[in-house]
Amino acid sequence: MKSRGTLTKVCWTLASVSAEMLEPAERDVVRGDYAESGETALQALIGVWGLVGRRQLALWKDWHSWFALIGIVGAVGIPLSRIFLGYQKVFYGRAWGLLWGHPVNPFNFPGALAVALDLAYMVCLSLAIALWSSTSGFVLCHFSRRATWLTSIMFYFVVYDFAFLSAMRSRPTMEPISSIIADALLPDGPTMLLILLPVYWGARHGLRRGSVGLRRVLQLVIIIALVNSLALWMSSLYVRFEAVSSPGNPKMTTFVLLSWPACYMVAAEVWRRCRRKDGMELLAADHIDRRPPN
Amino acid sequence: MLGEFEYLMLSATAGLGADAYGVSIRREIEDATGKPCSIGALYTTLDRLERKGLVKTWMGDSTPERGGRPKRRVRITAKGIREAQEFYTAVRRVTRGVSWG
Repeated sequence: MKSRGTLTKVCWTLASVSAEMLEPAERDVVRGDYAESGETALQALIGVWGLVGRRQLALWKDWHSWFALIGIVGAVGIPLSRIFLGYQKVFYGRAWGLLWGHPVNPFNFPGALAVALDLAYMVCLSLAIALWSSTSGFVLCHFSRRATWLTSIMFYFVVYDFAFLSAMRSRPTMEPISSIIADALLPDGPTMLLILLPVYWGARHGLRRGSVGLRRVLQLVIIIALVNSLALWMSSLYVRFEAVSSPGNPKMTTFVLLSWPACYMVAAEVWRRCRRKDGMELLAADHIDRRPPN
Repeated sequence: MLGEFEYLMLSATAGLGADAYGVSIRREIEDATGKPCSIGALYTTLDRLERKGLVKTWMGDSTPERGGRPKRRVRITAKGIREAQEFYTAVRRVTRGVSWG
């Protein structure tokens, strides 16, 4: 009896959580329908999942969702995944080295400058990853709107798993499937926060659809351009000095691709301003036309 | 031409009159067909009918039995009545002389 009561509670909780993926008005109606109809928790859960599934599928008839999928999840998620995998591989080594007082020096020349350079590059790359993630989150949610749930989950898995699974495939011996699945699904450390928190921040602003402000967006683009340039220059040092355990050597085209969401944000703000200006000019013209003749 | 489930929904709505809303339409269809009617099918079809101009929906009052949540009320339009009539006429014509045993 106790287990049945627990199962019922779990089903109602799941149904309630799943209903969050519906529009607010429809969510209220559906919850009211189940309160009135007296269906079981399991029936309610299956019903809600059915409705949510149909609503989510219907969103893919709209080009906005496909644009978010290809333009952000694909075009940004895949290169970001490769950079992030390289970053993750060296992050923990650097962190442990610092903690235990044996900082890693991947360059061939000794001295504090080499260590400082390496750490500066890690900080620069961390900032770049966070900035790319926040602008991607903004544009993803700005475009996909109600399909945000699905596209955000897909973005997470592509960024976290694409490069990792590609690397798995190229290994001569395969790890057990259960281990691969666990590694693919579960975040393995605090580095994932570098992606998740900025994406969440960007997504919240993208969903509000209000104006971020042209000045703020331009400042963001300038910061991204500076950080990209710095990271590119620093990554070239690893090649020049034949460094070991480099966090990766991304190309300029990759950096440009990862920065396109920021450029979209600028274009969207400029477009919004032009439309507002046109609207005000039309209003002013209308007012002038309506003035009584002298 | 209407689909079969669309016709069932229009008929249930017309039959219920002022009492037509999500739960009552669903009950009416389940009683008539003897099969369960999912809310997914119900509300997606309702949206489609509204887009075609065959019904009008609006949020009704909330009631205590619904936990204080509103219901989605439905009313068939003149266009909806015409389309349902055409469907019914077509079904009667095509089944004239047919015996289902």
